[in-house]
Amino acid sequence: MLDVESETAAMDGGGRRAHPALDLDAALRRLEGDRQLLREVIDLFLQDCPRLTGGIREAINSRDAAALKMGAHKLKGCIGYLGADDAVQMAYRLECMGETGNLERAPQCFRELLEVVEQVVQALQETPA
Amino acid sequence: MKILVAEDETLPRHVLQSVLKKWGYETVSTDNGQSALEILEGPERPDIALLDWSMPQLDGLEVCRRIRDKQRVDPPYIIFLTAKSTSENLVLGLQAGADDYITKPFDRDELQARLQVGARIVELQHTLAKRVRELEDSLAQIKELRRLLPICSYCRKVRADEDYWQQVDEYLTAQAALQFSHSICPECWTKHVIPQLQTVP
Repeated sequence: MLDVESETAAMDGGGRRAHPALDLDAALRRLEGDRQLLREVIDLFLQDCPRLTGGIREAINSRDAAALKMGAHKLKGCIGYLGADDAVQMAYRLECMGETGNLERAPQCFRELLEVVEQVVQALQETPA
Repeated sequence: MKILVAEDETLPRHVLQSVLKKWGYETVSTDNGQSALEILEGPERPDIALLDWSMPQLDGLEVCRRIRDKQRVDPPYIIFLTAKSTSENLVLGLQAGADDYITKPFDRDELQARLQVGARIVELQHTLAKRVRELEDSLAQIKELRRLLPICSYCRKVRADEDYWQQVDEYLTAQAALQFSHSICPECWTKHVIPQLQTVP
């Protein structure tokens, strides 16, 4: 279980986010201030994240533009609920590459996305229970 | 008011259902388009549908098109809730028959306000549909009364069907839900009642 309260309190007090890739305060506002629900959302994301990023990796490896578009779209739809705006933007770039079928820069873009997603996951996992 | 949440990813579906319940809505959910269509056409169909764009089996666009093809008197209010955000997609969604469109992750105030608009439209539709049914019933009664009706020249009974004769008041009560209050007119009072009274010793 993650200590969402101390995470959001740290952000409120310092005026600066503890984790630049993540805005749990915004996420909490979207969830009607329900900390229990935010915990459930975080747990669901940690559970689904390997599948979501794995789908994008497979799509790029097999140069499947339609699968890339779908995979990036799904990740974007989920990670956005955690206030991870940078990851949302990067996933959107990959989704557009899938849409146009131009995958030339997709591997590099995916590496950058993975770095941000890993920061998000680490931030969520390191938050004391 | 009941809302359908059709979304194939667990996380957004869970978030939406939880938030909608907090706002006092009854919810039903599914992770695919085929089942969404069945729920929207079922006996306890929801009034509002939040449809994800990309879903297995049938996508949100197709679900929307099929619902609109039915041309129901009381169709659901359909909002696309999706991470797609280009104006091209917005146009596609609205052309498929969606009433509104909101991007994921949703802004809580915006979603709440748009749902309130939806609820208002649905209530208006229900009122209008009820009024249409009442008018159709009245029209059927008027048609029933607008026909040549045989009436007996002696006893004034009317022929309701081939073999059945009944009093005018009974007939009108049955056909037009008219209520009669029996009384005596001044002419009949003079002609019938007064002579009867005069015979009383």
